[in-house]
Amino acid sequence: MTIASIQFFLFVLVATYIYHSLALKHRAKYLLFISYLFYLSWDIKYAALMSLVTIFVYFTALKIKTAQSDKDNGKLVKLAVGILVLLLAFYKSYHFIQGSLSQLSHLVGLNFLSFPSKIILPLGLSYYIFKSINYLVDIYLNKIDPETNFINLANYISFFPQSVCGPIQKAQDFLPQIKNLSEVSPDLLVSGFRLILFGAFKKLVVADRLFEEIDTLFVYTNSANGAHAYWLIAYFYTIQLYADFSAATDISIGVARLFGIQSPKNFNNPFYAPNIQEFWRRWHMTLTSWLSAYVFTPLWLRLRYFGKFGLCFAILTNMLLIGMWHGTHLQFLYFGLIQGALICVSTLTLEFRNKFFNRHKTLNALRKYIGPLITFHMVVVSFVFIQASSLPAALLIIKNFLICLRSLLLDLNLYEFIAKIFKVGLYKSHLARIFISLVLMETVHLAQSNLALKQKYLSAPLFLRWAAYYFLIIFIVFLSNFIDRPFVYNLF
Amino acid sequence: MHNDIKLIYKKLAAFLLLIAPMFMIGHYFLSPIVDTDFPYRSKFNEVFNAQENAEVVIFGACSGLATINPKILEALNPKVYNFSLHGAGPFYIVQWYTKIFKNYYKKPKLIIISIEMIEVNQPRNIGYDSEYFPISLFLKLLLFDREIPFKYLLYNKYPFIKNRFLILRALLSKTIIDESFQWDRYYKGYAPLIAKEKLGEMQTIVSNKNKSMEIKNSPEAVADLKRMIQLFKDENIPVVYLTLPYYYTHKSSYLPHPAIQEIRDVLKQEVDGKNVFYLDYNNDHPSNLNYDESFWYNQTHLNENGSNIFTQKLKNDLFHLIPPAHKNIFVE
Repeated sequence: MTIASIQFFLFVLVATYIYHSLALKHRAKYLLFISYLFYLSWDIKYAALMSLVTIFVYFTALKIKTAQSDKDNGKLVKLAVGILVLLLAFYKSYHFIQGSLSQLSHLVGLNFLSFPSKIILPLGLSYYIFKSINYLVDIYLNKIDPETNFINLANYISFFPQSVCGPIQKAQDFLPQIKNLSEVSPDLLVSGFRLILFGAFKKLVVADRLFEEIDTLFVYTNSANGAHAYWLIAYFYTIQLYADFSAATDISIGVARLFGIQSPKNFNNPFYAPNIQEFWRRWHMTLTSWLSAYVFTPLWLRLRYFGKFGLCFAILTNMLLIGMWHGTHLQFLYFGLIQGALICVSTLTLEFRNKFFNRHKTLNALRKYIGPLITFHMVVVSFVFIQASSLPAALLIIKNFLICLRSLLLDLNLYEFIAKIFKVGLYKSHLARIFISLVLMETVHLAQSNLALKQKYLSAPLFLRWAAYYFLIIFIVFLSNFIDRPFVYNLF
Repeated sequence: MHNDIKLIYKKLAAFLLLIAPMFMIGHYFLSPIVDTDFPYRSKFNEVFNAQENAEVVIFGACSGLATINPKILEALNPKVYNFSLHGAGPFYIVQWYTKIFKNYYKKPKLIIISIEMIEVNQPRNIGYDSEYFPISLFLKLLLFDREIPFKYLLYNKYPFIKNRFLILRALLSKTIIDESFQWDRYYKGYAPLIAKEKLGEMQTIVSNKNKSMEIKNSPEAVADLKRMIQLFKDENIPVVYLTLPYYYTHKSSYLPHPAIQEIRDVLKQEVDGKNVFYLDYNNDHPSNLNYDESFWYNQTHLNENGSNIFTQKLKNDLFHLIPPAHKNIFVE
């Protein structure tokens, strides 16, 4: 069951109702039970692997606490983190390992050895491995004490709303909440339902319908107006990815709230970011802050004597890891490299740009509009590497995207340009639907980040708020295809 | 449970309950304006409330719907009905026959099945047709049948939900019926396609999506085909399998694609001259229909004129193909 399906909603509804009916002392155990029930609905092997990781992390953490010296502690943490990273790397790069082993066995004449050509990445593996590493490292750094209650730790690692697409919550944030479970406040409960509804809207109406448009557009890429098809594909994919991933996060945070757990924010209007560094502070925030804390900052501190070179090296390493987190295909590596290069250039020129714009007041006034626009286009181009199946495929999309962008900006024949757009399988009614759903999505996003607007909405009469929810439900019922399409970030 | 939380749940229940009257209003006002599937409704009506009690029945996908005219076959037997539906491949036909047809309609004397050679993996599921089911069948499938996804049955039960994307179009008084068919010529499940002056662009079956798409029969699709053949053997009903003609633009069209050949091989292996027959109108029995553009709606569907000529040819072939033991199917 995907987390945007009716089955999942019913499961959550029943699970939450029982949860609130239970005495406080039983709630943690019950939460663990339903997390594993959810996991078992996917595959028993997933649940088995997660329980093994939990046992491993639990005992390692206790061992760290009882180790004789800091040196022993360091060794133990390095070993444990190494094992967890290896486990993750094995699943993420299995296709590569399998290919190499097959070739090797062929070369040495062991043809009878066969390796399964494909294994499925366990659901949410990278999310709970990252949580486990965070937990172990924070114990080593004395930020938290090891959790002696196995149920609490198992809940941290397996908490089902966060196990599919994150967010990656820190142990020092989660564990106190699970240890002090109290009655959920009505406001938190309602806000949870609200987020689930909005997440379902983003997934079913925006992301899934964009996916279908992209599928149609691909059929027209060989036509006379193929470049325009690619141009649309690049934009649509970026927005689809955003809607899809942020929908998963909304549902996840929403469901967590139903159980009284507050999860960290994962997105903060990333497409309004004025530059690429800021974009990464607003996109998949829990992953970037995790990597920033455990990779970028320690690396930069070690390389600080190398000045700007050290900084760029730390940035590139960090972004390469973000790329490889998506998978070990080469295009994810390119994605990381491109992002790293863009951040380096942006960081190194920021001071110069600030001075330049301060001298030119008119340009400076435009900067807050043009900056996000340029950043968005940099993101669009680099996200092509996540979507495309190979480097040539990615380059083909980018080439056509740039050709179209150039013709749009330089030829200034907007009428002809739009006419061509409607010759690549995109209907006017579809475009209208996409536009309306995007406006609706962004209105809600802005309302979520504007405290005054949010307060105004919450203090509105009940019938108005309910009307807004019914409006979203009508959108979901009438504009979605109800295909249980998995979330894109499930794959990572 | 805490009282505040109880109150929230009560509000949630009220919120969800209010959807029911909205749903009923929507169904009452919107379902009639988007109920586009009159040919399907009439076909399902024929199954559930038989009027024709056909002895010769035709199953298959849209090409069968637009190509085999029962009026012409009635020269062989006055009781012919075309039950073809868009996207109905072997998987669907097995579902349709075992879960619906067999239980509601009398056993036919002859079944004619058109096989879509390049789309044998047709995705149609009988859950898509739940709006035509009597309530008893709907509930039976919903509650006890694990083969048909729950959501297919539910989402397709009410026309205003099933055809939700057409509502706006219908409200703007735009036509929502498929205008490529001549519905005024509808006859016992057959509806001819309009004649086109020029053939449209060939329906490309290979897209250039960066993931290469190969025309390939999935093992499941081949297994479904075999399952369907076995089903009618077990039912002891003579079946004539047809490959309907395609429009040849190049000589190379004579050569069946490996995927098509795979299906042909399965069918040819099963031909026994008693209960299983196979007619391939592209490779074994091509005719001038395959070459003359004026008979075609597009590369794979005949227009009205073409379909009448084809059905005439089929009628003659059937008469000569069916052995004397089964000649009681036909009117002498």
